[in-house]
Amino acid sequence: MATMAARPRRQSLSNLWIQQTILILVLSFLYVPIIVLIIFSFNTSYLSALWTGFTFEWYRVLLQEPTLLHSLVISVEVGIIQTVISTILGTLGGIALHRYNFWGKKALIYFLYVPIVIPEIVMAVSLLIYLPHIGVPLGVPAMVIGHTTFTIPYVVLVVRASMAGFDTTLEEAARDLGASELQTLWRVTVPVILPGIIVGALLSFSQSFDDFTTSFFLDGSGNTPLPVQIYGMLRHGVNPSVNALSTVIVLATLAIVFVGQREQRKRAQTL
Amino acid sequence: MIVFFGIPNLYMLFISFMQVGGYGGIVYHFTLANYHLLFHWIEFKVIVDSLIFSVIVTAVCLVVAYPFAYIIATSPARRKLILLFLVIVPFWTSSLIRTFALMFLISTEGFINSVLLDFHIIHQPLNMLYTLGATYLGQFYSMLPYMILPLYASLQGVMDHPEYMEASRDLGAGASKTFWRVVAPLTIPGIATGSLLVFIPTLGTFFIPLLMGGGGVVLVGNFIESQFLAADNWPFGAAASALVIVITLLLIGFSSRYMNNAFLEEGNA
Repeated sequence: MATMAARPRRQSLSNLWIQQTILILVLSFLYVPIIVLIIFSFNTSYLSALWTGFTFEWYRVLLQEPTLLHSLVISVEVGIIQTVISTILGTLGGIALHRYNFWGKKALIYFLYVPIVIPEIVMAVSLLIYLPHIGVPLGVPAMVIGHTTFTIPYVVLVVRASMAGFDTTLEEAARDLGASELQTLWRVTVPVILPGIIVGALLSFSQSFDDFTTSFFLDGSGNTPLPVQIYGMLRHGVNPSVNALSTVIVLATLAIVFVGQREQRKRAQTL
Repeated sequence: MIVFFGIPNLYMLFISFMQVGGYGGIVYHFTLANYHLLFHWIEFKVIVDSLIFSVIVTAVCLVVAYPFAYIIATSPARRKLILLFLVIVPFWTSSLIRTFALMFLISTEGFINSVLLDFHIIHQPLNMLYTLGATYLGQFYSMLPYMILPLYASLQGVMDHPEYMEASRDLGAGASKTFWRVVAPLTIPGIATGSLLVFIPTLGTFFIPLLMGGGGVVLVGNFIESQFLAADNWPFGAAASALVIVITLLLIGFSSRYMNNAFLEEGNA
């Protein structure tokens, strides 16, 4: 029976080697294209993908491109409006789903995931048919609704996860001290789960800002958001200002993910 | 109180009307569209091609992502955090931009060709972009993080219970037997979730075949798009979309048996 005592886990050298190789291969596959793209956004040559010298030229070109700036404004506008809507609805929904049990709750949860589970193009064309039919014009309003459909589930997810670590006795205490339902929600529940709400809002904004498929179908004319604009540029071939623009977006994404992760970790530590 | 769950409820009702309204309207006006779709071999072939494409992409993602997710799950805490961050960044990066990064790498005047020509390894640029292979590469590149994260979540769940593996070893199973008989079966929910998260968007993909395949590759997403925007035959496009929805729902129904409810109840994406 002595052999049943803890056997040391052998991590053979070759095993370690294989692990390192897999790590390096997968990570370089994920990152090399993006890193090459970023490096060449500072390349002087317009045509060649060989390094010819360092320049900020393409970033300067970007700033002088009125159509790009217009697209940026559209993207930010849609992003902010839809983030406000999806964050409010998603937070209320997340709290409700956590707190109450009601008939059809499970069906509702399944339903909530329909927009992120059905291929996006299908959702986009159904909105393209339906929204003008009920009088929502294509353009910013249609894009706001379209983006909200797939960002709400993310907010609900994150908020529900925050609620799972929420001490409900806090709410009971507030009620006992005479706070109304709404006061309790606003003064107790929301501040406690605020980090979760912020993460949800960040995810919502970045999903909207990066969205191509839904916007492509719903943007109408003269309201081209940034990703659709980039797509148009790509169809006309590779061009270094697209590299520059992509670099800016990748770095912004990096920053958002970083802040989001840190918030989540902070929350995990305080609980 | 009713307000708090009433709002999302109403909102979801609203969504349901969008879909029912959208498809209902189309079916109501043009009942022949579906009939049309199923009778023409060319359109049917597009669907079959898309299904094959999605199956292959999903399978390759699974094979590559599983060992990687396993390594993350078994890493020490600090390294795990860094590795996870490195997977989450591409997960959240616009797939349009990631596709462009690949185009920049493999196009005729792209980085790989330029380097190879410069070092005189090749004398003619390789034709890599605008091929079916490039479409596969682009889709795989875009979807890989979606496979890694659920697999990781699932594997982490197993690693949190080292007693399972200890028990298996104590009963005399070797490392590989422990993996195949204990660890792998416990991660079936993660495999099911990851496969769905890859398969479904791949089935509906349309800008990756356009950008990487250069118009030579037509999948069902491209078909739907061209029916809506180029051919202006909305009912036909809607019929194809309805078919995609049916396939998707069947798949979800089938795989939900294998998924733990964690995905739906807590969400691990």
